[in-house]
Amino acid sequence: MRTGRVFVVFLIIAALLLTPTAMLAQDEPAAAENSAPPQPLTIFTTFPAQVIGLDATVSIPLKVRAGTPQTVQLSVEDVPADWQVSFRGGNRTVSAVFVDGATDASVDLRIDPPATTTGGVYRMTVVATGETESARLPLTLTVEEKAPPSITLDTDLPTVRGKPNTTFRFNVTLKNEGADDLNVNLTADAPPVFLVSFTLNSQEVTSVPLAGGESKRLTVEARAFNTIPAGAYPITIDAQSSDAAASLALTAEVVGQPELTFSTPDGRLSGEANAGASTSYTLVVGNRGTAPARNVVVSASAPTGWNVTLEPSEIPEVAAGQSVNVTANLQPNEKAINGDYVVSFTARADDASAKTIDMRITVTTSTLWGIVGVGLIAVAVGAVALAVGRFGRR
Amino acid sequence: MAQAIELSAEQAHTPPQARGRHGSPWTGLWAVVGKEMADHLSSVRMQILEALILLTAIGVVYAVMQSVRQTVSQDQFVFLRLFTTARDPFPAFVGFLSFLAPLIAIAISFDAINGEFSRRTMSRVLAQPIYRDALLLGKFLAGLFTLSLVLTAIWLLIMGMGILGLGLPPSGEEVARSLIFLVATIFYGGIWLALGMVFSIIFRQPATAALAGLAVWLFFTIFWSMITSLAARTISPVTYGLPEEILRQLQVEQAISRISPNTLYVEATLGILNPAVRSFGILLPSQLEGAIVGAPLPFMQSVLLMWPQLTGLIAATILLFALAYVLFQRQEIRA
Repeated sequence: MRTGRVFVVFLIIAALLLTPTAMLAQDEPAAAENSAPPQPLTIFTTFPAQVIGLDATVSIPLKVRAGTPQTVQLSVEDVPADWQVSFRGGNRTVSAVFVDGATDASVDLRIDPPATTTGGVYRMTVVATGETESARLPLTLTVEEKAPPSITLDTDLPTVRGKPNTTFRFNVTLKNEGADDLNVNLTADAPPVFLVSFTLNSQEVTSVPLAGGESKRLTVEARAFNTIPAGAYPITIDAQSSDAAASLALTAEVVGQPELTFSTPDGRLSGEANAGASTSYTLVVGNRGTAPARNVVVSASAPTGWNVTLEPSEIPEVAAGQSVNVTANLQPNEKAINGDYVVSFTARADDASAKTIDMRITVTTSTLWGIVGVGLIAVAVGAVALAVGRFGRR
Repeated sequence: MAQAIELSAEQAHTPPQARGRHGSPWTGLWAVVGKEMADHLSSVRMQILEALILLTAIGVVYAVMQSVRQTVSQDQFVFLRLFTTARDPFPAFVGFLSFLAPLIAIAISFDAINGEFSRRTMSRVLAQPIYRDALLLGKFLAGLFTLSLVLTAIWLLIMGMGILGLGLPPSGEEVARSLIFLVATIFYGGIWLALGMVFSIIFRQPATAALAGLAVWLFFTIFWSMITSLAARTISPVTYGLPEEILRQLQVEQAISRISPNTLYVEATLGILNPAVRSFGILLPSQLEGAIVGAPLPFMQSVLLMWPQLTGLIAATILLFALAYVLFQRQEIRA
């Protein structure tokens, strides 16, 4: 009885096993197991040649394929000195994989170059040794030596010439020569009278983020706070990041410039003048600039019929920081009606912009006619007195 | 009159001179002034005129205040605006005064002398130790003081209402300018006062004197401007239409129009109350070259500008009084 039961079970198993085989045989006759030679043992990876950086740990995915189920031993030959290699699978270090013959086995090769590695091409070979055969996979690793962090500052025109009130502009190229991203702080070392600012895309900046190898064009603007004497002013700009620094020497060359000032000694720009009478005013032509003002000409513009003389009207030179008094003799027209008039005085120099002041002159008329009026009243009173004397009765 | 009697006692000591004068001709002057002023100020006639002016002043100031408050622009002389701003239906206060002041003056003086005759009191007054010089001058001064009193009261009223309404005190220059304006107004009234007195001496009937005074006033107010342009065209005709001819004609016209006390008064008030006025005459563009138009003149310059007009008004008042004096002295008064 027991023998019969076993037989039945065998038949059932045989039927279960044979039925799909037969169906497969009908679909893919070429894939029949017994007719074709078995798949040879191969080990391969998609990217067998890689470029890696210094200090980089590389993980190369390997696939092992074999026709027959077997255990494949893995090893690496020709490993460069001090390089650490290991095979990783299922979160562990492995030294062999099992290939079931149908699917590929995956394993990662982990390569850990030492810190002392220098750039160059390194080759090694992964050897897979099966039960009957072995396969080799040559790997090429090109270690690229990473560029050290460094910054350069460069400009085409390191010296700019200008007047004291000019804004000195330097176009500076800031470049990150290294491979790493850097955050560069910008500082300037300039004489205290200069205000230096860094502009990037018309925005004022003090630090610039730079990707590896990136360069940016900065504008360095230096502006003097007040009028400064002529001369060359060195401006050093420093670019600093955590690992690298660069500096660039620039020069702002200030040329002297005369700047005229024109006023009265007390700054008062109004006055009185009697119609027909000469009144003198003192004007002050000064030079606030940094170079002497040459050929200063003072002129006046007054209403018609007015007589204005200026003494002196031409000054050969007004030294920087000095001033010269000019006397203006103003004689309003005799027939000018009283009231306020504008008289303009202009001072011109060769290199400086002209300065004009408007003086408000109040013309007063003579009080002579007032006395005549009083005389008229006196005559009238005299007439009364005469009448009293002549016609007084009793 | 007690003073007068005392003085007569003094006269008794001095020996009488044949056909000569005894003492000052102005003896008893202030007694006359006091009596006359008392008469004026208590008369119904004056009270009516004062009420008229008071109402005018209140109305004008109220109207001006409305317009000043609406004006947001800055004004250095806002108090002077009280006198010069016209607002419909009210003319400016200056305009009112230019015909009210003559009216008061004529009303005060038209029966000054002939009223004494018609009441038959002249002989009685002169029977007192008062010369007729003193009588005439006293009557004139009393009229002038009454006029001044009324006008000063109105001036104070307007300034006070201005301070209340505007809420700020007038500046010193504003006060000075308006005081000069007050003086000009008093003497403008003084001319008509003296004129009324002249007519009251000439005509024995008070009604005739009043009509004559009003006729002269109307003549200068209404007809003088017509006569002026007519006379200017006759004296200085424009033959070829040259600018010089037109200018000369305008100057002649202005000179003739200044004979009228109305013109003198209007120019004087314009010059003193409007500081921006620089000249009354015709201004050529060349004279305005470089001038700051609208800038106020300094006070003394404004006074200087209207000084001829003011002295003209004062002198005309005195001369008219002199005329009245001569006429009165030569008159037969024993009627």
